Amino acid sequence: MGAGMHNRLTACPGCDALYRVIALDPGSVAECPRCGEQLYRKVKFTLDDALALVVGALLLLVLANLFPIMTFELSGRQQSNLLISGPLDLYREGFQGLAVWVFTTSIFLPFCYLIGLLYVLLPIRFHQTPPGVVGILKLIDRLPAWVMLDVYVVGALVGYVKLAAFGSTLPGVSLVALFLSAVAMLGARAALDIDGLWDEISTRSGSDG
Amino acid sequence: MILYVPANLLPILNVVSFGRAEADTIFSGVVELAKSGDWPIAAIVFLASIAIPALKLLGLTFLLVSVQLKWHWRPRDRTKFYGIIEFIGRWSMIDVFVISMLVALIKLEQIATIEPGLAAVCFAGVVIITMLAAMSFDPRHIWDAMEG
Repeated sequence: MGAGMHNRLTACPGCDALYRVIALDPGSVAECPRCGEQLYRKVKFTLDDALALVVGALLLLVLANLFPIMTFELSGRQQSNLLISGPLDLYREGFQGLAVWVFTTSIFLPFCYLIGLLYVLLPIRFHQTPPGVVGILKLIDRLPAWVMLDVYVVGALVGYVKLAAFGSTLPGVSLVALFLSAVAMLGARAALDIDGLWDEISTRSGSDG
Repeated sequence: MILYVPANLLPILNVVSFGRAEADTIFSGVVELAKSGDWPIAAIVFLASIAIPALKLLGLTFLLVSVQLKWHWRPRDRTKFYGIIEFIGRWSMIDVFVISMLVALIKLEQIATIEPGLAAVCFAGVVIITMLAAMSFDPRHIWDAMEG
């Protein structure tokens, strides 16, 4: 956290109580004594850690989209599916809304989230400020709820168990990649010091946004 | 104002979500899994598809009512409760993803085909709307009543 963080007031996101911001030890969290909501935190990790996790998650996500998630075999016939084939088939069968929703939460938004993070973090790492950073960072802050890769992985496991009762089912490379990508993404979120990032941006642009 | 929108939307969709026009309903899927001995998986599906949406709808309604009536009852716990509701909402999507996976995987025309039911659409709709509703609720309203 930059020097600008001191002598500043913050409002609790849970109940609007005002507090003076104090410096924290790395890894600790400031909580509101009135409602228990998290006020702010000091992250243990560096920008490089977060960046590494973002790059890792992105590479794994690309892999997850290239290989089959699962292979199903019944009486000598084999069938495997890609991440994209779910939405495609839903679309073909007349469930356009559902198809778009699944595509958005399991493919489109994860990519948006990671590419957006990369777009913001990489230039800042090398002391540049990318254009449009304020808007993109605000957007990124709201995305995680709609990035459902972790939910998808659990869904895939449920599907796997359901299928195993019918015929031989083999999890594919993608499932592993998907799982690891989801873990890396959660890690990146935890490692990212979003307050520090805002400080960095506002001190550099010279105005408080 | 923000509170009225979810308050009006929730009960309507709640009814729709249970009108599943398909042989295999969400609940029968859970029973099936439990019968075949997959208790942990059955529990996950039950939690994600039945318990969580119900808890969310009831919980949000409870919070909205409590704010409207300006209750002073345990505001701290109610704030925490809101946090839980907001966090677990997205996990209801498990069933929709399962359907999307199975539809693409099981296409052995003669032997087995899986087609999504209308309920899947309703269900996804409920998840999206309740997530938006949870986001538009502001826990600060709980505390406004304490000060006012």
